[in-house]
Amino acid sequence: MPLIGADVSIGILYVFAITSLSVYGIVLAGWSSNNKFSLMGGIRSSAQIISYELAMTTAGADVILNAGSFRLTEIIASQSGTWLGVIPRWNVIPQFIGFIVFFVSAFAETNRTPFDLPEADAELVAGYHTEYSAMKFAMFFMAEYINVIVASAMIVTLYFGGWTFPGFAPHGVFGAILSIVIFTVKALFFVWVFVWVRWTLPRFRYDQLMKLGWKVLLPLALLNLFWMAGLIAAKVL
Amino acid sequence: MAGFPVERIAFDLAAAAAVLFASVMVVHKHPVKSVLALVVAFFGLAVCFVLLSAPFLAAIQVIVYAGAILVLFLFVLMLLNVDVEARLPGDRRPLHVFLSSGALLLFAAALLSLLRREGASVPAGRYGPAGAEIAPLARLLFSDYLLPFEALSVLLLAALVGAFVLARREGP
Repeated sequence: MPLIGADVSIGILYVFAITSLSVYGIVLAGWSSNNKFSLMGGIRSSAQIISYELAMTTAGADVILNAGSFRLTEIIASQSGTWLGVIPRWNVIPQFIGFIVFFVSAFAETNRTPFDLPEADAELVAGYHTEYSAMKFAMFFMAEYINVIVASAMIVTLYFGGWTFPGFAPHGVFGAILSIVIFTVKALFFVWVFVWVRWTLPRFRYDQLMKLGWKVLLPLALLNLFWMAGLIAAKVL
Repeated sequence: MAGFPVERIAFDLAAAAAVLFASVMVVHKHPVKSVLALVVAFFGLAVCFVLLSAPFLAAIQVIVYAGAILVLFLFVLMLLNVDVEARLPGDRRPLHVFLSSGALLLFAAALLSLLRREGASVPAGRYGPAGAEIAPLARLLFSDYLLPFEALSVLLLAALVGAFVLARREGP
């Protein structure tokens, strides 16, 4: 049995609830700086995070629909095994649209490039953390990287089968260690993608960001929800 | 529940914090600080829900209220950049005292009648770790309470459309 810290019955909802509170740090930092650039950064951040949270949660609902449970362990268990003996039963394959929506929203939720408008240094000096230096600044940055790691772990859990791998059945101490290694390698891959994208893509304009969130990602997430519901109703999955 | 009643103490602390910060929200003169007090109050309520074996409600409480609606409040307040609440013209103090003491009396009466009816404590066995009680809730929502549920969603839609109509600029 793989090692599990806490198997909460509302698992994924708990993660969404706690991450939805992360916006307060940025908003209050921007507001309390009493500086118009910082305030703009804080306001942008709150608008951006609320907008992308909708698409992200709707994409997450598809995974819940597929697993029939909020528990992260059951979501992972529903992804074990293979199709036709080779293709892993990861959620990313039937719900590729949902994965894309979740992935893009994760970038916006963690304030990473190309969606790092709250700290756009070409427009806002440094946005919400203009007035902070030394350890206070470091805490903002460490929080951002913790967000990146959590987002990567969630992507792996929801769409890439967590600690499972085709042809691997964990048993004993060795299996437990190996499942941790599998999960860590998958999560680190997505951390790497976050960094890769940061050094590759330029920043969006703010209106483009809002259009993408409301007019592209949210309809796509809803479409994916109908698609998943149809698949489940037709008993394909 | 044998031994040290950790859950009872946690519940009382969370409930007290919720009430305290709710009153701070009402009393405080600075709107942004009022919103922050409300966040803490909602969080205390969420802890109460968890301890009453309703973790789903707790998560929804945090996601919807603390995570979305209050962020919107904060967003609007920061955009308007309101400072300390503006005083209304004219001295309305006697009226305020009269109205608030009336409200307090009403609240005390409601509380007293509730306590007399339900008993002062939560029935034993209502605390403790929660099972997966989300499925029964969903079944109720989509069977017995289907009509109120759908009517509520239409009501929210109507509010949304109404806000758009009110906010729309007249003219070309």
